[in-house]
Amino acid sequence: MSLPNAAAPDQVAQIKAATLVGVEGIVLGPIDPIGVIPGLDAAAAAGIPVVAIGAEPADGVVSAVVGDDEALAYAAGAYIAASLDGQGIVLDLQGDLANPAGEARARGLRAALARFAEIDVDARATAWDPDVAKTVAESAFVIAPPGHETAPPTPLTPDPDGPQPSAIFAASDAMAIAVAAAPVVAERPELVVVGFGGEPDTLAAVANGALDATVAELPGRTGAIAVDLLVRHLNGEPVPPRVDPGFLLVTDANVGAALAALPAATPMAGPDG
Amino acid sequence: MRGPGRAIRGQTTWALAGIGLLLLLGLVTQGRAGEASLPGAPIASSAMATPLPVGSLVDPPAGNDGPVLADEPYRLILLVPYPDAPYWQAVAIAAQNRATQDGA
Repeated sequence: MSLPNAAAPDQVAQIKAATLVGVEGIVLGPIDPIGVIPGLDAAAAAGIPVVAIGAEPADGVVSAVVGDDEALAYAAGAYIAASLDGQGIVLDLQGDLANPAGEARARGLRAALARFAEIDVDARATAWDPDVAKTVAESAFVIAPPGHETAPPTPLTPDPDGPQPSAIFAASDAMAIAVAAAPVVAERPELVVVGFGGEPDTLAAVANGALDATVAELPGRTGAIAVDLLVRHLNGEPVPPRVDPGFLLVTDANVGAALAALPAATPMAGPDG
Repeated sequence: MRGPGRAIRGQTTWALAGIGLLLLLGLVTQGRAGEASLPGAPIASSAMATPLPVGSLVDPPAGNDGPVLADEPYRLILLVPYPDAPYWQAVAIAAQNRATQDGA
């Protein structure tokens, strides 16, 4: 996920404020694992331990509960390869390779597919932008009209005989939803489309067949483990520096249970209660 | 009990503060609930979240690691980057539930 750099100072200010209210520990979802370090320094100075979720700052936390993006993407790739019987073209709609999560997801997918000599990977950067992902996917199924081979303007005509992707991997929930909704994708039921993430819309897309599968993180386990780690630390027990909460490959075989397990839509109270 | 906090039995308080990036979590601890707030932050009335179903296929409970019995009462604060995102909402619900279990 692309994280807005401008928000890191705000989170630092919030951490500093949290050190003033008399808590024994902080569970933190770092908006930027580097930008949040001044806040972690403030917590350390106040003697307040921090457990991070979703990102692992280089220093300043007693533990981090962080999913293995590479493992999730590897599972997605293995599912795709099996669905294609080991041959075809896979369009990898990457996030941002400058982002550790984006790089790990690209690496995991490629590692899984590299085991199959007859699978080619067409990797495209999207900067995590769903609209870009959708446009890239659409462009993969078209050829340029005569005279515009290098820069097809419009309209774009599908090429049923040209080399086209037989599977698409989208590296985020939003990108997967956008790509699955693209007519050029939706009109190809034989196309294997796999997303990354377990948000409600993504699971719904698996349930209605728009997506074949998604690799879902486990936020419930993540939150519980983070609290356990912090309590263990407060008890004086040693805790591991990093815990992987695991993940789940969601397909039509288990999406019903996945949807049933979603939490309430509005679980948290706002300032008005 | 560590820290000052007002004790409210059986009640857990949530509050959002700042620019919506902060979720403040007061946790039930050993039969008592601590309430914490940032200076100047609005305080929400009690509002419990619906617990995550346990044993569900999509998000099995972390039963292999906890609940952990706390040696002393505690209060934790949860800061999430995107409180409206389903992922972070699920994290918050689970953290709330587990904190109650750990402090029981």
